[in-house]
Amino acid sequence: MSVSLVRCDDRLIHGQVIVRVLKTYSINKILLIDDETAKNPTMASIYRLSVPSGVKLVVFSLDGAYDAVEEALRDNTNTLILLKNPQIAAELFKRHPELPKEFNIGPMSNRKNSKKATLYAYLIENEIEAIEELSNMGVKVYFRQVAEQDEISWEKLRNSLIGGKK
Amino acid sequence: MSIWQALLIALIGYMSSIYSPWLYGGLAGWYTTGRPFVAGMIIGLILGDIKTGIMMGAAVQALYIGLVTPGGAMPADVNFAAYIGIPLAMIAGLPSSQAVALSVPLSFFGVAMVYLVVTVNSLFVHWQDRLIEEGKLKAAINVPVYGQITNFIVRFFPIFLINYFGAPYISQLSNLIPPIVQTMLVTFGSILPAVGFGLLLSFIVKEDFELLYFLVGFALVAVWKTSIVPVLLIGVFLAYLDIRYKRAERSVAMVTEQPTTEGVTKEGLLLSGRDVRKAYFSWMFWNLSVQNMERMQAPAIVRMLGTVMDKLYNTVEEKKALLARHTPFFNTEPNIGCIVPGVILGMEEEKARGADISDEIIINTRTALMGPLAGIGDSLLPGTYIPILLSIGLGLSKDGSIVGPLFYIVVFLGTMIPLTMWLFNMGYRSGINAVEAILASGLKDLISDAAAIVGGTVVGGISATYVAANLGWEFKSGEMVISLQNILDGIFPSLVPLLLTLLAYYLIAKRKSTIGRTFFVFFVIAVVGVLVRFFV
Repeated sequence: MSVSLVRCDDRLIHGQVIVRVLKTYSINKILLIDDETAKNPTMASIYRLSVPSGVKLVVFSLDGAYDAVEEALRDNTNTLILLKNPQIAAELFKRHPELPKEFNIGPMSNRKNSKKATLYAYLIENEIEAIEELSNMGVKVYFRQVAEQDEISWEKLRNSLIGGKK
Repeated sequence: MSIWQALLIALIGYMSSIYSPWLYGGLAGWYTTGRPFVAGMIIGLILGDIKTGIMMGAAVQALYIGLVTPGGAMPADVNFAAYIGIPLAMIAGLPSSQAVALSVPLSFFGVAMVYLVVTVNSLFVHWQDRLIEEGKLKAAINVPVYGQITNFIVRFFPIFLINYFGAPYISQLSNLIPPIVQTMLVTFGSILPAVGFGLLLSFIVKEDFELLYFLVGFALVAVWKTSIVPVLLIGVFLAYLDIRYKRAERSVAMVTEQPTTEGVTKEGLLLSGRDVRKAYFSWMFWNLSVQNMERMQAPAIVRMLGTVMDKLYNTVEEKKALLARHTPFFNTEPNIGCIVPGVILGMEEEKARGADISDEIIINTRTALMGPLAGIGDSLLPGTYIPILLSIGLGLSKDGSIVGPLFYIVVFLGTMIPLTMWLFNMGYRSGINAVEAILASGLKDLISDAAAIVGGTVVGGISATYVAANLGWEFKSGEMVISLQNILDGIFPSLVPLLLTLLAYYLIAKRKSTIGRTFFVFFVIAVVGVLVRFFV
């Protein structure tokens, strides 16, 4: 129960996360795994400072995160692992077989060549492939912004997003 | 209701809806005249009974006081609840608790409109892309203005039609409802504010012991019948003690550099003070005007840069490139988060002056900042400051006094307008470092700690005022009748409202119950309670 949620959200920290997700899962610690943020000390510090007091946020690059994730799996603080895209998630679930096999996709913004998955999540080709890979690894992938909404499972969306390609 | 009254209510209702730009964007609109409490005063004024309007507005407000609506995830919309629920209840002469019951389905109807608008508005976004592409830049930056049409349609017409044509029927309808159902509705409406206060407590209380502040506030009002002013003073005093006590450990974090405003030479700046102000107003008014699920507030950033583009660049091609690079997704809390458009403006000016800033850096900075500022903005503004100010206002207006809504309007706008101006300018002048410096000052944690104490105390006070329950059980022994109400009042006045508020807090904070489900639990409590005559 120590890693409470693995979530991908291309804005990482924002209103839904601070106001709802942290409460829903009683989160005490956030592991923000993103290479770009890890390289930018000013941004890393803004993220660290933007969470409520009582919640600790630590920024890692994907390669630098190994020990921290393993530690989070063993200690008993409620940890949220926050990522920008499913590709990082696929890599993370490969490296850490003990992670609970659930992956939440929150809002993903509309970008060039992205396809609409839900009202709030748009995905580009690489992301769709990574989700399919996660799903094949036995990870339950579901879309949801906050707990008030119903989950939408990947199985439901899969055909409309992958179907077009084949 | 005369046609003029209905038209006026519909017009103000539209201007007070979440995506309406006309009243200083969300500040004086959605967050001021859009609050049911203030709406009640306005509707009362239009219908010629300010006192009843305020009392109804206060009752509906109490229910929705803890409603924070981040991103597109909206559980209930107070616009129809206020601008349809309150006038109809006033016309029908319903008690304010029935106005509360009436507002619940209306709030879900309002949410449907929000989703409709953000879906349809994607069309405007593509139109703006095309206009920029074709070099019709003046038209492109006016897309947020044209885009208001969808919001106008879904707000003005339902409010007008339902009020104007519904008013004659609503009073008949309420006569048709059997008395026992009426009692259930009144009971439901009287205990529902507990859900609003429970939800609010779940935001501001970080640790369980802080519920003691809530209990102090509740007791002050329930037992000693004080007004909200002494409750507020005691809250402020307790917060002061707490912060003083903690200052030793905090001081480390407090000593940080002030945001530097030097280093930016005034010479050669392309934008005058007036231009920056123009950009600020453009952002503040139009930020949510064509809110859409696809790019959110991006069209408003385009508009803001469009208002000063002639100062930044000379050729159409350069202006096109400027606007085009800001069409991707942008979303933040628009008021506290207005520092981000400020940063964007500053970076774009630097770039136009010839500094080596790539498009990518601007977009990455914009993307990286919008999230954290949305998080801070949502939790500090709709999550903390607004509900606490409203709570104080509610406390001042328990008898329908006009002081409460006026207090809210003056204090809220009197603080937020200068604050947003300052934040926007900080962002413009000092860029991303300003954001870091403001955060590192520890001000945010100071505010949220103080809010937990002041807010907890004040919410306690108004819970004692606005959550009500009439108990029915009586025990007869011979000639003597002992009522449950009297027994409980002897132990602790308003014990049942206290327990109901704590129950709502427990369900939301500890059992992670959604708002809809919590409403339902209270509905069942009201129905069963009336059936077994626990409530009358």
